[in-house]
Amino acid sequence: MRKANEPKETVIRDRDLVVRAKAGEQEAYGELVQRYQRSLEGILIPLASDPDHARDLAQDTVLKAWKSLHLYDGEHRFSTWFFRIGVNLAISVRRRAQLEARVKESADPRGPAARLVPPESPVEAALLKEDTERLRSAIAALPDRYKKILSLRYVEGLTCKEIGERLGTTGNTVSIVLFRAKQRLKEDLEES
Amino acid sequence: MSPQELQQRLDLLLDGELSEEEAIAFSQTVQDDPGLRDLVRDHLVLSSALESVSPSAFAPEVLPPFRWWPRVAATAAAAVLVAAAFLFGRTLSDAADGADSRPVVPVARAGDVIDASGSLREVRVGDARLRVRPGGRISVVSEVPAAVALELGSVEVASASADARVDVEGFGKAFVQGDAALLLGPDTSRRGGYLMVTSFAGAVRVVDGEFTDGIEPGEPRLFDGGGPRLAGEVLARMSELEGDEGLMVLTTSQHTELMAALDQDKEQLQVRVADLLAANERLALEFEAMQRRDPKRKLSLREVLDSMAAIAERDGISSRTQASQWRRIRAVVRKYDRRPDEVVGAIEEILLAADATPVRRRLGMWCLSRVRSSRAIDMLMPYVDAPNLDLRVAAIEGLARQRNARCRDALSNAFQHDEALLARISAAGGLVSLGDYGAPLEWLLEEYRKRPRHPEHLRRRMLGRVAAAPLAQSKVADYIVDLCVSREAAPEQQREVIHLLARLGDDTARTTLEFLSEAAARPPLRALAARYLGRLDKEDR
Repeated sequence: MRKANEPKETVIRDRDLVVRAKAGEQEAYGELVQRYQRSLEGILIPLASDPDHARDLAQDTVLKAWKSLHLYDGEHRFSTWFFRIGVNLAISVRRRAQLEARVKESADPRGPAARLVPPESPVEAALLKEDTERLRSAIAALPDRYKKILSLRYVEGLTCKEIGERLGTTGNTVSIVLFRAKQRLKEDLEES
Repeated sequence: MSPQELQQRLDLLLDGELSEEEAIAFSQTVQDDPGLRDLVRDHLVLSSALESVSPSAFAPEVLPPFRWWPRVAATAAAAVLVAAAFLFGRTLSDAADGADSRPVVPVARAGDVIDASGSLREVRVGDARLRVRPGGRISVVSEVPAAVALELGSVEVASASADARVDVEGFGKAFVQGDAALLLGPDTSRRGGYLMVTSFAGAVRVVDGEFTDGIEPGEPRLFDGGGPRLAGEVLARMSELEGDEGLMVLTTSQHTELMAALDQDKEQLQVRVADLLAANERLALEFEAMQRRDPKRKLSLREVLDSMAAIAERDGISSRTQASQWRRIRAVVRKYDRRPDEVVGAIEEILLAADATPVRRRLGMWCLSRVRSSRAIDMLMPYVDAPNLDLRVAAIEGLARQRNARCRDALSNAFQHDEALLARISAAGGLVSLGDYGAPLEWLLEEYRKRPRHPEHLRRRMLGRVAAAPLAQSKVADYIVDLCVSREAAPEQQREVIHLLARLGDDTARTTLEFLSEAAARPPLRALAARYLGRLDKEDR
């Protein structure tokens, strides 16, 4: 089984494929998709209503990524960029569905729309309701070391391993701290 | 799968670090467990939201002057160190010396202060030192407990809710509650006593009486928990053991540690205090205390060094006296750190003269090792081949601490050819601090692994040298983490590592502590890491 991470030549091949795909070679893009589509479907399952929906979202991601391929700068792994597009797309679809369901529900509270609403967690509700303002103040309340790691992860887009290398610690350690930081944010958002 | 493990797997998956097979297995696990699915969904949603937040949201907090009030107010119920007065030989007769002899009252907390003229002044943390005329008055009117250091004089506590009697003969402390007034009485004739006033809540008014001039302040500081009380007891004990000392300021965790050491013998307590003070960068300078006893005369740097050498020659330099020696050395170097050439010149003249005794020379090496300057390197170089081991090790250690590429060859030579373990440890540490993470670092780690062979102080020295560049090096981070998560490693070794991380205390060390508080092999280790982390965070607050 091919490892997606370590072998250097695999990373190089990804890059080569991207170059070829950017030049319009659909087979090269197809190869990239083949490598990462199943992983993407797995990632999207929690955001989808069922596995079929996850597959649909993954398909949409493939199309969207193809259209945006010229924006991929190669600074990070292709898979990271690809997954990010998928997650953002799934969240956006989910959010739109939630809003539509709310509108329908308010128009007809007894109608079937409510049953179709994907379950909305308190975190999602908070983010939906107050956009990023609440999130900003929750971030502000975090210790600086959390902010630093969150910034490296979500502003600079580094992987845990890269953050670990930069901070002189391990990827696993970074992952734990990220988890804690996000837990704190989550609790804060849920309280709000 | 615990939430943390889930997060780790998810991060690996998102970072493309999982194989396809692992990714599918992870997805299946998540799909089969609604709880995990919800967790992953929330983390993905949050991640996506975090990506859309502007970078400025993640900037470290910079507190404007008063923004931290509410936060401090929240902890106002905790104890606050209000005042620490260090009374030296001053008499009322000095009071007639004119305007310059007015007392200085440092206000250590932000807030509004009404000074002696009755005007309201805005005070920032640590920057206000108000001179008060005899009979004047300072009112600290902030809403949070204020910290005011009284440098001279006696104090009476005037408050219905306070214990009104304070004995400043020897060590005195008062516990003030509520809106208390501290009245600085006219009696400044008492000598050599400490005064510690502790307030647990409320604003404080300070009314001064007759005073002479101000003495360089100690550093009042906000404590919580039982800090002030512990500090008082430690100070009292140190005062009893060593006589007058300058004001020592310790963090709460340090007090707690020192309290544990109070029942130990003097030597152990001194060593521990010296360690803590050095780490804390707040040191009572022995020679400053000497100055204070005779405030009209400033001691010159040469006099200070000469005094240090005299003490070293009298007591010898051994492991039993090393801590206090180090304390003196660090104090001197820190005091003159902006004038390295002056220090080096004085060290050369006083401690490294041609006819200097070996003790003086060794002391000289130690002092030089703490001064970063080109001239210090020139002076240390000739000793790296000295037949006398003490001198040689001191010189190599000195070069190692310079962190200067000029020293690389000499350090490399010592690392490869010197047979003395101490010399090699110093040389390897110096090379590591210069960025050589190859053989020197591996040798240090390997030697540390052979711990049963080496006495404890050598192991600590090795670990300390590993920490010369440690957490910036994934090899060291991996080593530390592996050591602590291993069930086979010796528990005391694991504890040492956690102590080291706590001492380093920087962001990376904290991050590692955070990880170990979850993942260390043994519950006591996890608890230790969590405790240290909590303390460090608390100190930040």
